This record gives sequence, C-alpha cells and structure tokens, in this order.
Amino acid sequence: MKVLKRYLSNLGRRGELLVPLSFLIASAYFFYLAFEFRGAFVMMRQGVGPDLFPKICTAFIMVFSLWLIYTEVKEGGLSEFERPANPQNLWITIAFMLVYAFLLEIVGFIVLTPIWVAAYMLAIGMRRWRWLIGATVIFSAFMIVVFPKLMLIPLPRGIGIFREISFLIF
Amino acid sequence: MLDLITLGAQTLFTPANIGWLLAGVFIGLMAGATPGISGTMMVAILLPLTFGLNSTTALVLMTAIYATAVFSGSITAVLFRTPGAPEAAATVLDGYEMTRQGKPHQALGHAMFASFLGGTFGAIVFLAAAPQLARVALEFGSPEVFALIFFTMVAVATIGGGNRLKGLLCSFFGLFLATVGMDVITGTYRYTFNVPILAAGVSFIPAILGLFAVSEAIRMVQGSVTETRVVKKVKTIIPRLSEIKKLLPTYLRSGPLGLLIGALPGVGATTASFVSYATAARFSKHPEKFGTGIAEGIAAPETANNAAAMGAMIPMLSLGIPGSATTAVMLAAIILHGLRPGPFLFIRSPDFVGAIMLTAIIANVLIIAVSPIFIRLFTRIFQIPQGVLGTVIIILCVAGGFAMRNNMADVWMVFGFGVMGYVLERHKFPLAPIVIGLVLGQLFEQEFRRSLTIAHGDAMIFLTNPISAVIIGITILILVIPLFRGLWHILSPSKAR
Repeated sequence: MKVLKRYLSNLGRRGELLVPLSFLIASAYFFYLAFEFRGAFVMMRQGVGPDLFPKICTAFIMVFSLWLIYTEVKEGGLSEFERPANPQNLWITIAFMLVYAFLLEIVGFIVLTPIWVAAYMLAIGMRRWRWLIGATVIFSAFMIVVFPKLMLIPLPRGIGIFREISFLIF
Repeated sequence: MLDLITLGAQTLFTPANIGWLLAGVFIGLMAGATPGISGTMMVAILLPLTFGLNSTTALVLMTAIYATAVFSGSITAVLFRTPGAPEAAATVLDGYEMTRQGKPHQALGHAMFASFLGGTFGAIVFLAAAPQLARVALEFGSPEVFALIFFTMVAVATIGGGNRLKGLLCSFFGLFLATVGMDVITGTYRYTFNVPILAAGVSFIPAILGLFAVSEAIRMVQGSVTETRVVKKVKTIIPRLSEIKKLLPTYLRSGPLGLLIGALPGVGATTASFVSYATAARFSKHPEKFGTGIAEGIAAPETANNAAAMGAMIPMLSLGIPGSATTAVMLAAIILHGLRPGPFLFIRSPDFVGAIMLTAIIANVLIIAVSPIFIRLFTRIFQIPQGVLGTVIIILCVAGGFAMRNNMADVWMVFGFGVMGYVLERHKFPLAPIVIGLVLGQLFEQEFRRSLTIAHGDAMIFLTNPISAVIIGITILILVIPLFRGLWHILSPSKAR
C-alpha cells in the first residue's frame, strides 16, 4: 500500500517519461494494426491505400516519442510541479465523471443532473450553501429549458420510471 | 453592383425583414455562445420553420444567424476555454490566456472588433466581387489545399516558447485521431474495433470540449473552490485606437486570407482561423508570445473566421457550391424556396441576392453595436466561485458533446479527452496542435491522397505546382531555420567561448 501511495504521489513527475512512453506503445500498436486494413493492398496498385496515412502518422509519433524519451533521459531528473490546493479533486472529478457517464442513460439527464451537480460540488469541498443550492436549481433548469425545450435536442431520458419522469418535462 | 444594392435595399428594408434580421442577430449571438449549439445547427433547426416565410426573409434570418454565430462562439472560448462553435477553437489559445490574466473584457473586445472588421470586409467583397472571387477559389486544387494545411500544422506546432518536439508529436497525434473511422475514399474501417459510433470517426466537438474545457474545469476545482476570479475593470470594451493601429497589419492580412480560404469549397471558417493564427505568428516580430494572451492571437483568427464565413457564401450564391456546412444548409433552403443558385441567380433575382449581401453587412455591423451588452453580461459570470464554474462547465460540455450526434459515446469522449488534456497540459504538451490535426486531418488526408492519385503516385505534384511549392517551401524553412540557428549557436566562436 505504501509503495502504491508513493508511486501515485510521484505519478505527476514520472509523466515526463510516462507520457511519451504511452504514445510510443500506443502508436506502435496502431502502426501494426494499419497493416490489416481491408483493401489496403488492392488500393496500393491504383493509388494510395487507406493504410498509408495512418502509418505515416503513427511512424512520426513513434519517432518523436523516442526522441522525447531520449531527451528526457539525457537531461535527467524529473521536473517539479506546482502542487494545487486540492489535488484530491482530480480523482474525485474523474470518479464523478465516470459515474455520470454510466448513469446518464439509465437515470436520464433531468433526474441525474441536479443530484450530480449538488453531490459533486459537496465532494469537491463547496460549502457555500447559497451557491450550492442556487447553482443546482438554476443551472439544471437552464439546461432543460435551452437544450430539450428551445433547441429540441433530445437529452437522455433514462429508462423505466426515470423515463416517465423525463416525459413529464420534455 | 449599384443595382444590387438598390434592389437589395428595397427588398430588405421592410418592417418584417428588419425584424427577422434583428431576431437572427440575437439568435446567432445566443446560439454561438452556447457550447454544442453551432450556427450550422441553429440554421438547420430553423430550416423547416422558414417554410412559412418567403425566400428573402428566410435567407435574411439564416444569414444573420450565420454571421453573428461565428463571432459569438468566441465569447465562451475566451471566458471558459469552451469554444461555443468550432470556428472559435483558435481563439481559445490567446483569448483564454488573456482572461487568466484578469482581462476578459479586453480579450472579448478584440474578438468583437476583429469579427466586425473581418465580417464586414468579407461581406463588402462578397457584394463587390462574388462571381470573380468564386472563379479564383476554384483554381485551388488538392495540392494547394494540402500545402496550406501542411503549413498550418507545422506553424502551429512550432510557435510559442514550448518544446517543438512535443508540438510536432501532438500534431501527428491529432492527424492520427482523424484517421479513425470509415475511410471516405475506400470505405475501409480503420481503428473502429467494431464499435459502430467509431465508424463515423472521432467527432472534433467532444474532443475540443474535452481537451480545452473539461481539462480546465479539472484545474479549476483543484484550486480553491470558493474563490472567484479577479477581473480588471474597464471603461470601454472596444480596443483603443493605438491598439487598433498596432493590429492593423494583422487585420489586413487575416481578412483577405480568411475570405479566400472561406471561398474554397469544403474548407471553411475553422481552417481559416487556424491558418490565419499560424500566419500571424510567423509574420510576428515576437512569435514566442503567441499562446501567452496577446491581442494579435485573438485578432488573427477572429478576423479570418468571420471573413471566411462571408467568403463561404460566395461560391454558394455564384456557383451553387457551398463553402461550408452552414452554407450547405442555406443552399438547401434556397433550393427549397424554388430558387436556383448559380451565375443566373444574379441576373434573375438581383433583389434577393442584394438583400442577402446587405444582410451580411448589417449583421456584421450589428456585432459591434449589440455585443458590448452581451460581453458585460457574460463577464459577470466571473463573480461565480471556481467550484461552481467548474461544475457548470463539465455539465455544459456533456450536453454540448451529446447534442452533436445524440450519442452517449460522445459523452465518454468528452470525459476521456478531458482527462487526457489535463495530463498532457500538465506535462507541457500543447493541446492546440491536437485539435488542429483532428479538425483538419480528414481534409488533409483526402487532399494528399487525391493529389497522389491524380499524379499516379508521383509526390512531385506538390512541388511542380507553383502555389503549393511556395507554401511547402515556406513550411520547410520554418522547420529547418531553428536547426541552422542551433548549429550557428554551437559553431559561433563567441558563443563557444
């Protein structure tokens, strides 16, 4: 657990190498996949196939990633980052975004959004109640009026009872 | 031309038409400033509603929306790093940095003034020389468009004081993202992994919202959530005369450039704004300051995108070829109202053409008359605590991302790109080249392949064609000059000591 904690706390600094390394691995994989595009070889006889451009892009990404890794290793040392006031809010936000995206189709925009907005603001440390309640109510109402009502954009309605509730409003 | 103005004025200046024009300006300003609702979407939504109107009134409404929505997309781009419309993506780069420095009024003032200048210039040229300009635009073939995008990609990746290697890597990453989906030439599925929504590719709206806006929201909530942002008070929003004088070369360069790019069929105002931004940086005496919140970085894309919007109307009316997505919808509206766009439209319906052209000019002038009220209203948002603002941005991005294709995959993309943007920016990888690569990638690849197909695989086509050869030459110089500078630095005896 301690090792994991130490690793996570240094994650930001390790990114100097991790980011280009991730680019390198991903681009190598996508470069390999480009050889399997259907029709690539047929097209090559007539002109330029669908595989050429992705291959060029991924090849350049690999070259630049390697160059970056080389530079970082050569220069040595990991750069320091300014520590934000609430670093934990990054993980809270990611968790809340995942939950929102997962529940949106089930619960629907109308029911989920006000609950999510209030819960999220509480979780990130917002304790000014007037703002918390005001923003939840006014902003949710604004979104419902502008998107489904005025612009006729069908935001997710959810399923079951949530769908019934959504239909009452739009 | 005088006949067009006289007949157009007689047709346009009726209470009903003026009322619809004003309504169009208001709708355009609101729609453009709302992420996920672009001018194109608004014009498309209103298309069925215009059936009850006569052809002139319908197009007056659409033109007013189109002209103003291009500008208003910059409002949220400058204030929240959330472009209201794709055309405003380049404005984010310096506009938001200026807001970070506590100068949102000035940033929006520059955007407004540049939009007014670019749009009015475009509309006047549109009135004076539409058929002639349409013919010039048609001279631009695949190699020229390829070279133009190549120049933009390289220029944007290498400007600013950041690591050029990271900029180039991000450019190619953006281009790579644009290859995801069904290949439009062969129909081959690329990197779709049997996910149906990926067949249509990575939509750039969720990507822009995620990379620019959600990543910024994450940063906001990591700070003190109850604090509000400090905003410097200003007496006037319109830039001072001394500032305008300083920016004059940028306006004069970006207007014609935007107009020409806008007139190229299928290229559009988003490309124009990025090309103009890159060109301004290259011509600037201090290119390293681009991206740090300078007025030139706002004036260049805003002049160009508004000029391009007007430019896109030129081939639409004079040749029947839409220059952008919005003009494609407008073209449909013209046809649905029983008119046939093309050279004969100017002869058979000069009153209609004149009214549209005058609407374009008036709508652009109204930007400067009406926008200060909007800007003062919008900048009051900074009295809201950062925690609330961050939350609002996230939800706005969800709705904006979903609205484009009504698909949940886009919501996941908004979040995914948001986290990616946060991580990349933390490690000083520039986000602009990714967005530009994604936005221009498909066109870039198509023109590249089309050129090679025309030349039977001979890449010399890019160098034997004079326009593309010059543009590619300049681009290579941009890449090579810093290498020589570095070499000079090493070899120079004074430096060596």
